[in-house]
Amino acid sequence: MAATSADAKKVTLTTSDNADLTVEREVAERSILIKNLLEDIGDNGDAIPIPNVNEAVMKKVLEWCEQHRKDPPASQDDDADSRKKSTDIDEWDQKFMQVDQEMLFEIILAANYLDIKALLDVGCKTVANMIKGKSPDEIRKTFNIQNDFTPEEEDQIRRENEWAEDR
Amino acid sequence: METLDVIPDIVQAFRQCQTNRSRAEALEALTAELTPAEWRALSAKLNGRDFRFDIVGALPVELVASIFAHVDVGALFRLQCVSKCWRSLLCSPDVLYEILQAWDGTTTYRRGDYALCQRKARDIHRFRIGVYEDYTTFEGRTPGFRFDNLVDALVKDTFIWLENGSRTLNVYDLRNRTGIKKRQLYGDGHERILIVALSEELIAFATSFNTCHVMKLDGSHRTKFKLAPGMFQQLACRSRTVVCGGFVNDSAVIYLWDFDTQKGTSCVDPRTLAILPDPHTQTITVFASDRCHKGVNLLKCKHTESACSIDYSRFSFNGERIQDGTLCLSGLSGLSLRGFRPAGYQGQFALLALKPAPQIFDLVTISFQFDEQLHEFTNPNCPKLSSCMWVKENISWWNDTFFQAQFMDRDIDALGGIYLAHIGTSGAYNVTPQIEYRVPRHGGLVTSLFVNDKFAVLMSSKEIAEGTCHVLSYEEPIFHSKDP
Repeated sequence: MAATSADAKKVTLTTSDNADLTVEREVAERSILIKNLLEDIGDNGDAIPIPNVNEAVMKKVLEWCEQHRKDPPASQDDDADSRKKSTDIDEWDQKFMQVDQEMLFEIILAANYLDIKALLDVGCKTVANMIKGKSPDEIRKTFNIQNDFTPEEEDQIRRENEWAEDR
Repeated sequence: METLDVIPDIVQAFRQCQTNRSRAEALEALTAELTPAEWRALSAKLNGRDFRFDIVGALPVELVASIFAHVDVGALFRLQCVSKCWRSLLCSPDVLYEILQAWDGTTTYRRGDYALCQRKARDIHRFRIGVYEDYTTFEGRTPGFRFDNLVDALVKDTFIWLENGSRTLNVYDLRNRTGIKKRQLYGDGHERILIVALSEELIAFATSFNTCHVMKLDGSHRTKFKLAPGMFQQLACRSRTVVCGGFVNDSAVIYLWDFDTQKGTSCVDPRTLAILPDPHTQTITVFASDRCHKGVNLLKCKHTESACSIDYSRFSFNGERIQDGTLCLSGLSGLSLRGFRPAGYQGQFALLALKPAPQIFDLVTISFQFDEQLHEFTNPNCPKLSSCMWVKENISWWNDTFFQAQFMDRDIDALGGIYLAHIGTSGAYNVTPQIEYRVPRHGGLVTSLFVNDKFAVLMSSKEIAEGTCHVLSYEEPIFHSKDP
C-alpha cells in the first residue's frame, strides 16, 4: 500500500523489548543517531531497530522530543548548548526529570546512545543538582551507596582532601 | 502435587511471555487472583522497592565528567571518600583532566599528573571561595584621569601599565611575587601611546606616530607597522593576530595584521566600535552601539534615547558576513563601547562600555558577557545582580567567580578606603573581603580591576598621576610545589 503524505512523515522505532513505536519523523530526528540513520538508509518505511533502549524509556525520551521538537537544532561541534544555561533547568524539563533514579539513569544512557545532546545535558544537570552541596554521607544516603572504606582509609582520604572542605 | 513444586513452573511460564504486552497481560491475570491480604502483602513489597542506586558509579566515565562539570571543583576531592568506586572515578584522568582543562584552557595534563591536578584544583578552589595565597603592591605613575586606554591589562602572568603621560608602557611579570619584574617599552621617539592590546602571546601598542609596535610577551621579536592617521581608534589582539579599527576619509576600516607573516589586510567596513578577532576560526566579530557618529568622535553615541542596542556581526577574515545579532537594552542609553577582556578560557568575554552620568567626568563603566561560541550575549549571573544583562562598575569576573572593588568614605579621619571583595560565584552572593587599602580622601580617586584565573589586580590612584597596583594571587607559589 502506498504511503499517504501524512504517513510519510512518520517513522517506526523498534525498541530492545520488541515494541513498535510510531512517531513523527521531526520528533524522532531530535536524535542525531536516528536522523543520521534515516539519511543514510533513506526512509523506506521499515522500522528502525533501537536495540539499546527499552519501550518504557523510549516513550519517555520521545515525550521529551515531542516537547522540544521546535527547538533549534543542536550544534554538533561544541558544548555550546550545555553552557547556555549554566545551572538552571527549564521548568518543563525539571518536571520531566522527576522520575525515580533508575529511570533517570536509563534516560541519561538513552540520550547518550541516541545522541540527543540537550536531553543528555538536562539529565547530567539533574544528577549534578542531586550532588551539589552534599557531604559524603548525604551522598551515600541519596544514592544508597555502601561505604566500603575502612574507617582508617576514609580518614586518610578525608585528610588528604581537607582543603576542599571550606566553602 | 506439593504447592511449592509449581512455583518454578509459574515463573517459567511468565518468562515465556516474550513481548511487553503478553507480560502485562499475564501480570493482569495473576493479580486478578489475589486476595485482599495478598494485595496488602504485594503493596508492602512494592513500597519497600528501593529505586535509589549509584547512578554515578554505573555511568560511563565520560558522562560522570559531564555531571561533575556542573559541580564545584572541590567536590571532586571532597566526595572521594564516598566509596572506592567514587574515588577511582573522581581521580580518573578522564574526569579530572576534563574539568580542570575547562578552567585552565591551555594546560594539557598527562597521565600520572595527579599531584599537578590536585594543585591546580586547590588554586581554582581558593579562587572560587576567595582565599588568596599572596598579596603584593607596587607603585607607578598613572597615565591620566582614568585607565580607559587599558581595557585589557592582564593576561596570564603578565600585567601592563601605561605611565609617564602615556609615554611608557611598563610590563610586569607577576609570577615572582617577592620582586615583581618590570620591563619598559616606548615608541621610537617616546611619543604618546594611544592604545594597548595584549594576547596570551603578543603585546601590541599604537602611538601617536601612527605606528603599531608588536612583540612577543617576553619582549622578543619586536616589530612594527604604520597605518593612516585615525586607524588606531580600536586595537585588539588574539593569539598572533593584531586588529586595528578606525576611520579613514569618513569610512570605517578594519585592518588585520598577522605576526607570523608580518603582513596585513584591510577587511570589512562596518561601523566599528569594538572588535573581537578569533584567529582560530578566522572570523572577527564587530560590535556597534546604535546611532553612532561617524568620523572623529567614533566612540560617542547620541544620548537621546532611553533604550540602546548593541548590534554585532561576525565576518570572516576575508570580509564575508556570516552572522548578525542584536542585544536590546532598556534603561541604558548612550553607551560607548570600549573593548574586550577575556572572562574564561571557553570563549567568554567581558565587553566593557561607558555610560555617561550627569557629571561629565563621572562616566560609569558597565560590562556585558559575550559568549563567542554561542555568538550571543549571555547573562553573567553576577551574584549581586542576578537576571541583569550587565554588570556595573568595578565588578570583574572570571568564569563564575566575581570580584568587586569599592571606594568607601570614612568619617573617622581624613582617610577613605579601597576595598576589594570576592562577592561569590554565580547566583551565590557571599562577600569575602580581600584587602582594604587606606588612602587620603582627596584627590580624584579612581580604580580599575582586572581578574583572571590566577590573579585579581586592582589599580588605584591616590592622586592624579600617582597610583598603586595591588596584586592578589590565588596560585600556590611555584617554587614551593614540592612541599606537602
